[in-house]
Amino acid sequence: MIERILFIFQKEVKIFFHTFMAPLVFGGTAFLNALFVLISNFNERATHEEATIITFISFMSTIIIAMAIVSMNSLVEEKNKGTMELLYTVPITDLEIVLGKFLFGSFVCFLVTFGINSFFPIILYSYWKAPLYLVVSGSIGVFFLGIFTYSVGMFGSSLGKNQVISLLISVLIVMTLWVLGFFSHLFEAKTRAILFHLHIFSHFIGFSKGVIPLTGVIFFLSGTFTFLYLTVKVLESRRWLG
Amino acid sequence: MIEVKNLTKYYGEKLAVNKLNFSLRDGEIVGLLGLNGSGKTTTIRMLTGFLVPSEGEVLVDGISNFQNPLEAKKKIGYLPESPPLYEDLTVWDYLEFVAKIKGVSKEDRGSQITQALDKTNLKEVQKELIGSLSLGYRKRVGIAQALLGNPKIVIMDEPISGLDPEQILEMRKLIASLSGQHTVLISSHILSELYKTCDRFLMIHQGNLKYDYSKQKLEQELVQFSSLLVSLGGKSKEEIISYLNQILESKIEIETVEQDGNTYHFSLRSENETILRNRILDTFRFNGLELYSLHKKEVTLEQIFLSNVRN
Repeated sequence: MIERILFIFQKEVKIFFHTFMAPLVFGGTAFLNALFVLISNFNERATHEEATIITFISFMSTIIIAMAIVSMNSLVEEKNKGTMELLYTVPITDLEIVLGKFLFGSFVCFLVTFGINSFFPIILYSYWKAPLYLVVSGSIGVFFLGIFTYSVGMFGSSLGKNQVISLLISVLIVMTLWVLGFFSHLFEAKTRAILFHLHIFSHFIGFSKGVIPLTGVIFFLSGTFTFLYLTVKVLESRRWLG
Repeated sequence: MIEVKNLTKYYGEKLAVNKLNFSLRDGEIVGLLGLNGSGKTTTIRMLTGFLVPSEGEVLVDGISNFQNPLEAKKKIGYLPESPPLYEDLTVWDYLEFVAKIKGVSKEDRGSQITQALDKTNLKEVQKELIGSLSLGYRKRVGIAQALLGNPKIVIMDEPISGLDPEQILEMRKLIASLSGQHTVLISSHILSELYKTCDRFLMIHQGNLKYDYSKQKLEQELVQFSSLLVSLGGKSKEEIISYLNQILESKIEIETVEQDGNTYHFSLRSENETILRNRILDTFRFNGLELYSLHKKEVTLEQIFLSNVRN
């Protein structure tokens, strides 16, 4: 099983670096980071706490955009190019297909978080004199958010008929979870509590304050597993529905 | 090798394939005939495990492809109508990936890929990106991937669609070369192409298996449909038809009459074609008719196919 997951992963990596996707994702992330982080921080921020928070809030946006773009192709392109017919008819399970692709998404997320993004935490650490733990916990938060977004994107890609619809589905889910919590105060206590627990922003913000909140880790990991599970179920249903 | 029992598929309320029963024996090349939308691709997709049947089962070498899909799939190589290719990989990288997920061991991988490249004449393009290849090459890459893992059964859905005449000849040779080593199932609606390559023919219409013919049985059918094309002149059309009907004792069927100046073209069918041919010659000699041509009409499988479908 592990071997077949790795074969799917290797194939995804090969295609990613053979196409425009790698420069688009890495270059685009670097560009947006520069736009969001440098302009905001160097113009307005005075303390390292402020600079750190604004940096990681910027990363929050860029990692969501990057991972949504990477994931939008993950399954819909296999369907549209007919290669899903290959994957469905060779000795490999739907779970292995999904896990192989997820491993690839996590790899890209790792490269973005600890490679492309790392330039800015280094500045935070060296220029703003932010403590190392603050920089590390913020980066871990970005990584969790990235793999969560990728799993949502895979789910969108399993449902969509083309890349744009897939992207819209995943953006809709992530944006709903991002925005809805801000309006939780409008609801009664029980609903408010549920909305607050589903609020991406409140789970993420803890990481950029130098802690690794357990609820945040559980939220992102359970959310990731849930969407991976749903993706496997969508793939299984395709065999029945045709 | 493959045993299909009561295979049925519904898409929602629509019945696509209805209780198919047939089996494929070791080493034979079988053609799956059917019009577009007749259920060929759905049938093939259920055989390969791409689709789960609504009812019935498929046994591949005794293994159910629903109960134990991973084992069953190891025995099948599949080329869909549109070859399932990653355009951003080179031919070699793609075949290596397929060999890996088919479970070909590391030691055998290189030799199996080389064999598949040799068989499909792809050696000269092995380092090229698949996206830059022509359709003929892409189909060959599709066949090469189907042969990896040395499957006992090779299933091809419309392997010759979209190919030019030269590529069709190459593809036919390639399919013929698989005979004996693999059990092959080919679907097509270009029936004359299947006739040249297959030992047995299954015809599907509206999801039902209409007939299961061996090549000999099909040849008998061809005789029934054979006819003579004769071009005559020297008399009026009515007179010629009258001679034909009288002298040949109305035992012939005049299928078509076309006029080209003073020449009339008839398509004649009879139970005994030899007697018909001799009598035509005698009739013309003694009645002052001018014979311009007489030849046997090529019978197409399409005729047999459509006749069976209509019946």
